[in-house]
Amino acid sequence: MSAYQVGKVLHDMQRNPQLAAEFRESREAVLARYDLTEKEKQAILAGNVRFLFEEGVHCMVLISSSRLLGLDMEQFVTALRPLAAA
Amino acid sequence: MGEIVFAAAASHAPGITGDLENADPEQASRFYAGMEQLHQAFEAAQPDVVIVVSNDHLYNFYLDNTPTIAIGVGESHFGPFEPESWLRIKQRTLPGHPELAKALLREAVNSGFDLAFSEELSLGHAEMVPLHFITPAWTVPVVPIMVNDFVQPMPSPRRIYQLGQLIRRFVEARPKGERVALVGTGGLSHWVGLPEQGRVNPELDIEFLETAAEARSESLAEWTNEEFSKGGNGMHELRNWLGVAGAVQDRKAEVTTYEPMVPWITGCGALVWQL
Repeated sequence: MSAYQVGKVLHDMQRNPQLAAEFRESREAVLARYDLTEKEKQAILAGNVRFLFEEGVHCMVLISSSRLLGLDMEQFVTALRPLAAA
Repeated sequence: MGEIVFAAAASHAPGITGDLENADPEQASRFYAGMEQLHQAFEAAQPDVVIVVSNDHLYNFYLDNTPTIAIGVGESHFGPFEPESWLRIKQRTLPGHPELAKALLREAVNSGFDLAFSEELSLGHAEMVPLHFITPAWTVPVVPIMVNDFVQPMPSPRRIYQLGQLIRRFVEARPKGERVALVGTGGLSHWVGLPEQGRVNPELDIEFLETAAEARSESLAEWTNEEFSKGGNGMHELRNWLGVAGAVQDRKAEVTTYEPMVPWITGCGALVWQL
């Protein structure tokens, strides 16, 4: 698992609207161009932000990519909330 | 010599402009009134340029390139990069001030501040939300300085306070009559992208604001990372406020507004130093 690589994919799409549009059309094809493990690809495809967060993907990149990952803000927060400190 | 004619700091939460629907109308109204005070003071000051001390949100700089402090030396700046449909601020190109920015960069490097620089910084809500209120005509040239407030190791609060002191010395050495405005943005308490998102810490926010207002900002420069973290990862953005406080260190400030805006996930405040 490379939190850096996963974050890089998400950041690339944040900076490049054409890449983001391409991702929306053909997600697997875009992810195939990056050096990701199968687990990382599946987490991105499933919008599993909790897994990605726990694996160390930077929270700022995650929240900025929430829509691309298929989540609205409420869903994003709900997914992470079980990890909240008391 | 040049002169600092305006110095203020304000929150930059995107909900301030982008999420009126969920905010309590009376709280929002009080906050906006506080921002209007900054606008009025800015207009009265008639600055030639505004230096904005803010932070990137890992948009300009991902982990492949993370400067501790970066100054924008471009002829112009595009912003906000966030869509208008979300932030409700029209995207535009703002004038930069490359001559001043590059002179400040040279002064910083010659003084032992190893600033990074960019000819192409994209401005986001961190700059555009406060500027939307403070300089709605968008005509005053902007020099953005982005502090790393989100990736460890972040610069110490003391270091950014020292940056403010450098800015003061720089301005005082500028051509006679140059009028410089300073704006620090960010904070106050908020947890962004974290499981605790939605919390605010009004007690800590008010402690910070009152300390700054009483001309005791130098003590804020001694806050540790742990102390800032009691207000969430977003509280670390208050380093940006210290980048202005260091320039006006012996001055008191008026807190023009503070509202714990839970729908905006942020303790939102603003203050203006009395110069």
